[in-house]
Amino acid sequence: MAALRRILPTAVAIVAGIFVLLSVFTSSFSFAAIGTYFIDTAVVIAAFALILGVINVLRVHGRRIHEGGSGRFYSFVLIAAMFVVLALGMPALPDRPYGPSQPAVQWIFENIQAPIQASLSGLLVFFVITAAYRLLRARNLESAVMLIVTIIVLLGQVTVGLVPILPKLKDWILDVPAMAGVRGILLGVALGALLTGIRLLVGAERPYGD
Amino acid sequence: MELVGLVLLLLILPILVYLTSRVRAGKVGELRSIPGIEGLPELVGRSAETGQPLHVSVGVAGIGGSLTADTWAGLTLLSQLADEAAACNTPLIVTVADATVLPIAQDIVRRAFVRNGNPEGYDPTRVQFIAPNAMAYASGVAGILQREPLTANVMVGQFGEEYLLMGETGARVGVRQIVGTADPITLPFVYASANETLTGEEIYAGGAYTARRPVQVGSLLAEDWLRWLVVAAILVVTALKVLL
Repeated sequence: MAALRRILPTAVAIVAGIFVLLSVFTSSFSFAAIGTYFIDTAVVIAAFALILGVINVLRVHGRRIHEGGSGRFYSFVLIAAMFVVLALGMPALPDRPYGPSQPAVQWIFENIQAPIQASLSGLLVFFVITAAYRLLRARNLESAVMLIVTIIVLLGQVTVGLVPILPKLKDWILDVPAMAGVRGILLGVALGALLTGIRLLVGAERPYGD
Repeated sequence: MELVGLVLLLLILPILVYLTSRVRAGKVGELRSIPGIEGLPELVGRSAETGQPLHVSVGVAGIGGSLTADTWAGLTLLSQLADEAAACNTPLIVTVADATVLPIAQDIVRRAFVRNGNPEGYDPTRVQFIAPNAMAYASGVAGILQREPLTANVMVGQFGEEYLLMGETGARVGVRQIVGTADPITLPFVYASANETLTGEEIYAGGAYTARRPVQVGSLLAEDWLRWLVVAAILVVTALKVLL
């Protein structure tokens, strides 16, 4: 029984993976249909995973409220907000919009969630500045090079004909060494991702069992 | 294009099998040092000594999309950390941003505690689903970094601009940070705020360094072989273009 529990998920994963892979590499209708079926099934399972996520949020924050402590007020607000949005999105009346298109839910998204997210994005500017300041304090060769390059690129961006060489220097930095570095990283990432995929496909790595 | 992919795949498989067999036969030397990965067991030890938890994030991507490999890289390191944490009975806080990752992360941590004969030590609420939105997830993690007295913050997976919210908060509170991502745009921010950085492909090497299974080390070597092939191809094409 234990062997079956170990082998069955691996066999199912390998077969499903090979079918999806074949649907990419061949134009055969049957492989394409099977591949699409497996991908659609994965989408449905992923939707169910969101329910597990909601249960997890309830357990984690419910426990925090129960145990008390400084963060329990925030946990209470989170759970209350979740239930309010859920209740508002329910189909209360037939032929009326529900879910994300329900007017009250839309209002919450547009007037509460969107401004909060925009504020967080705005805060990133200050975080970039503190990150740059930290680099300045690091005082090693790599940090010094990074800082000098950053200053040249920034000045090249803003000088309007005052120092003609700077915009050209900025373009060269972005097009040659920076682009070469990025391509090198992306090449390595592509190979790493490919081999990780192969290891998962042949069952050498099994996230679903020991 | 599909044909190129198929040829590449068929080329990689025998290389992977050959190199894995070489690793099994012990014909492969030492792997080069990656301080970020090699320092992980020490973090667990320190966490056991202080009793303060480790925070682990596997990024903002999920399972099933084009960034699955990045998430899986984070889960591989989580598996290793969970094993060591279960052996030392060290608390671990795991946060996820995608619901598809939640059951897998919970299962990895649960199995680690069962494997180490400590099933009671597993607490499912220690693996937390924060939010499916990257910015909301980042602010949730920033709250944990600020609120919880942590030994270290290990974040490996896909991160975008939202990383700054977490990384800078971690740097401000002075927690030791080991961060790895494959996104070249996020890497400068990681470099600025983390103590150890896993750059690009290094995040996929976690399993080979920690678990040291022959197939993982073999795939790392196969990656090196393929890289040299690609470099040779670039040089040949460039030379041909210059000469012809």
